[in-house]
Amino acid sequence: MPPPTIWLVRAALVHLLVGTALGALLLVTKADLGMPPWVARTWPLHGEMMLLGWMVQMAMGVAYWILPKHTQRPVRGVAAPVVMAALLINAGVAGAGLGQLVGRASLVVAGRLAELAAVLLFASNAWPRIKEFGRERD
Amino acid sequence: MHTSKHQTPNTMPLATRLFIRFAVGYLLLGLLAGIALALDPALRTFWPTYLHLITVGWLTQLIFGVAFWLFPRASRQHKRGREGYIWASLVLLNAGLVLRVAAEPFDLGVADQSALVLSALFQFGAALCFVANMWPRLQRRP
Repeated sequence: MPPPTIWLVRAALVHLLVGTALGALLLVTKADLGMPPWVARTWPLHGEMMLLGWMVQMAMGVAYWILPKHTQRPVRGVAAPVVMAALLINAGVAGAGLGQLVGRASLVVAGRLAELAAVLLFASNAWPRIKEFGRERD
Repeated sequence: MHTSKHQTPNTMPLATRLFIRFAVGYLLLGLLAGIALALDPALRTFWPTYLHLITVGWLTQLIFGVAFWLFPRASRQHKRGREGYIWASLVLLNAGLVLRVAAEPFDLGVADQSALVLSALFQFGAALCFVANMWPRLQRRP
């Protein structure tokens, strides 16, 4: 398992844990047990972490690992864009999620742009690897 | 060459098969809930339940099952990590979801409130157990 996959999957697992903890708190607020009011405002952060931080990031990490390799080195393509994508998607989720929490539209837009850039960088690595195993190009 | 089930290293483990079968079941249930929501606007209290049937019951459960099956071995002794964690994750995730579906859309009596709190604890416990199984398996293959 290549290092960028390990970083992406570990970050995805952290998002799963924190996002699920927030989700659990949100569910408990529905039981009317006197939870503090700020908990109810965390649902956009919960959604951002579960959808982008957990699912999308996990898929990116696994795809970098298992998509068909090139016949020449670097066999998984240049790793730098994927490492950059890992940094940007985590910064993006934090920005977009916290921006919604505190009501800062500029932070939300910056976060979403970082998420978009992360996906474009990831696609620049993955696109040429979407081919038959053993072939250099489709 | 003939290889028995027990000797084949990549045979889909029972826990994975159960995760995927439950996942498909939740997907069907989620899609039916989506149709009901579209037909009757009065059912809008089902919206969060519908969303979680798809995202937790289907997507997250499918990821759990496939990752448990395909991720690298943890060690010689624990090939797929400590399997007790994954069984706990399977039981907690599905028990948590069933409690959520049973309690969330309805007016909350004391029983429903307890069900929601238990559901929250179970779903978080499921995530925790899954991470405990996966984390040691995230390593470069020798």
